[in-house]
Amino acid sequence: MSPSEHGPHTGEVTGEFEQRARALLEDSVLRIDGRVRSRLNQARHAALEDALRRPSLWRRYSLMPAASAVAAAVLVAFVLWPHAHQGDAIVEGGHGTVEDLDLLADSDALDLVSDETDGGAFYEWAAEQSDSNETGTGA
Amino acid sequence: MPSASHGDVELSDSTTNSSSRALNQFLAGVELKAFKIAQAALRHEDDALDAVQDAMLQLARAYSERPAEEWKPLFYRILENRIRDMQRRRTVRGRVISWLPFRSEDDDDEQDPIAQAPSFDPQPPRKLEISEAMNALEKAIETLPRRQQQVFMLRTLEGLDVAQTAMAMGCSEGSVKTHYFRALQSLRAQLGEFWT
Repeated sequence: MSPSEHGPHTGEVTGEFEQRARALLEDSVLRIDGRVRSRLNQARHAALEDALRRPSLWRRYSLMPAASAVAAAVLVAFVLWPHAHQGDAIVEGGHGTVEDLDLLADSDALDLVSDETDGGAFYEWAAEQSDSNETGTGA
Repeated sequence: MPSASHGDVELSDSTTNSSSRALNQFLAGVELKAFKIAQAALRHEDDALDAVQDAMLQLARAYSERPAEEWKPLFYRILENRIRDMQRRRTVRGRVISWLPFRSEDDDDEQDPIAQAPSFDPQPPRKLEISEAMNALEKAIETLPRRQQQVFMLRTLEGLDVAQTAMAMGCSEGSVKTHYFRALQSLRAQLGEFWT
């Protein structure tokens, strides 16, 4: 018999040999005894009850994306929360740092600090200004 | 079919009910053929029952919500995996036992002498003829290599098409065709005297 006459090439079991084999096998299925049938019946019921009791893997896996998203959000929140406060501190501190940098970069301010001829006149003036402000407000 | 009031199982949901009913119907439709396939592979009734039971459980647990058209190839895929596991375990056990010095004849599977005794039930000639042909076929199938046996049973007994058989066996459709062709050749060669 050529391969083209065989079932596998046509997708169907068509040959006489296969049909006879199928008939015999189906007959042997019908002859399965009561004990085996009973055990298969019990096994089927157990499987169905088990499936009803627990959600299937399919259902569990369908919830996986949502669960993963929630877990990821919580993780990100935990990781970023301390850094958020640190960021504030850096910004606050950064403000003072910027002012210091401005003072250092200001050549006039440096001149005032290091002016030898003035003999610290700037500080005296600043102290007077401070005192006068206090008396002014006090009056 | 489990009753609606069984334990803490709530079957009020009509979707669950109809899905469970469909699965019950499917399993009831395949269980006997699945048992024959497992028995041909394992050559042991209780092992075959265990394999079918495990496959049912696995399908119901993991794939009951998949489309019903997918159940059959999935079920036979699970069954084949289970059969292979059992065969491997049996091989390992056989090797271990063969090394044991204190092995006795009692270690072999006990066979019920009554079950092994020839039946004196008179059979009509036609029935006897069918029975002999069936025995010859089953013995010939048992001699086939595992993959050929698998593809022959799935195609011939269960009636899976090439694509479904390929899915159940986890191989290509070309492989299915080749294994099936070789199985038929081998069976024809063995059964020629009975079937001509």
